[in-house]
Amino acid sequence: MILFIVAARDIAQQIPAGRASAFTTDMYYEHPNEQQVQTRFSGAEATPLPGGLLDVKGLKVEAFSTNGTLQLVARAPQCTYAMLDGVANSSSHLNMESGDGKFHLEGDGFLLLWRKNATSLTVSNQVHTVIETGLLPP
Amino acid sequence: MKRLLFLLLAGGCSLIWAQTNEPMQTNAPSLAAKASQQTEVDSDNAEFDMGGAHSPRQVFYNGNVRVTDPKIKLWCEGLTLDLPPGSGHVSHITAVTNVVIDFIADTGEKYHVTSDKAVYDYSVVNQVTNETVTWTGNPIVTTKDGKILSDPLIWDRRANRFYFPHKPTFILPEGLSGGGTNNSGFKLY
Repeated sequence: MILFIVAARDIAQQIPAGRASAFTTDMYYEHPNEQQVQTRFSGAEATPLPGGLLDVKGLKVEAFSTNGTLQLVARAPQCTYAMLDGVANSSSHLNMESGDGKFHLEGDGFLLLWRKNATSLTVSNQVHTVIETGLLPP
Repeated sequence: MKRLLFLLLAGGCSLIWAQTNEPMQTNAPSLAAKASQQTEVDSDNAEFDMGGAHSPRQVFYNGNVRVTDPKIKLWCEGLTLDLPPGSGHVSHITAVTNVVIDFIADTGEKYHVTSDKAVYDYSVVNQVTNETVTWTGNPIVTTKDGKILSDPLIWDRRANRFYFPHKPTFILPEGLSGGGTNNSGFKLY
């Protein structure tokens, strides 16, 4: 496995130059929380594709609060990731849940925009959500 | 046929309506229903904004949105949920376009409301819980006692009262006589 690091200002990125396994990319909060990871993009395996893309297997995206608490985690079996654009997409199934496990969302096909202060996840089809605590308080 | 009765209430603002009739007969909730308070939301697609240090996490559901809850059923074309940090309850909900909501109040009363838009707000200020739903865009609320047209239409969930900032229109169900008096079964304040 061969890796090299891109020293972007806000993102610590490791771009696999060959077939890579278990890679992780972190995005940090702005000042005064610049030491805290805001979102983490990781994969169990990544294979370079033409055009600077990566074929990522075992995708996992995590979002943290400023105190380091896990806010949510999203998982998908596969995606195509344009690292320099901060865009990942896939037609595969996606599962997402909150850090406390009480909010679950799943659907088929997704587009992840993974950018500073603009991280969003669009789920394209058949979205199903379960809120364990109920929508309204008792 | 005395089908429609319009009671235009003079005096204007801050009219409150509470039902005085006996609650509608409902089956006792099963143990399974009591144990399960979970809500399910289905839609064609959705966008999840992961928020930031100072912005809330939000989910935007689009297309054929359906919400199924032990106490509420909701249909609309667009639904936004503000998710609080931690495990708190949803603090702000906005439903837009062809909004239909069926819900059961804690007293057992059943309501059916249609509108263009509905906004739910939940907050706790100085240990006082505020929880309201505001419907706008030709809201109509239907109960077994009739219909009320009011824009906006505000429901205080904690007090189980409807508020009509402007003069509402009442439509009684067929068979009830009117004659310009309030015999609709609604208690007006």
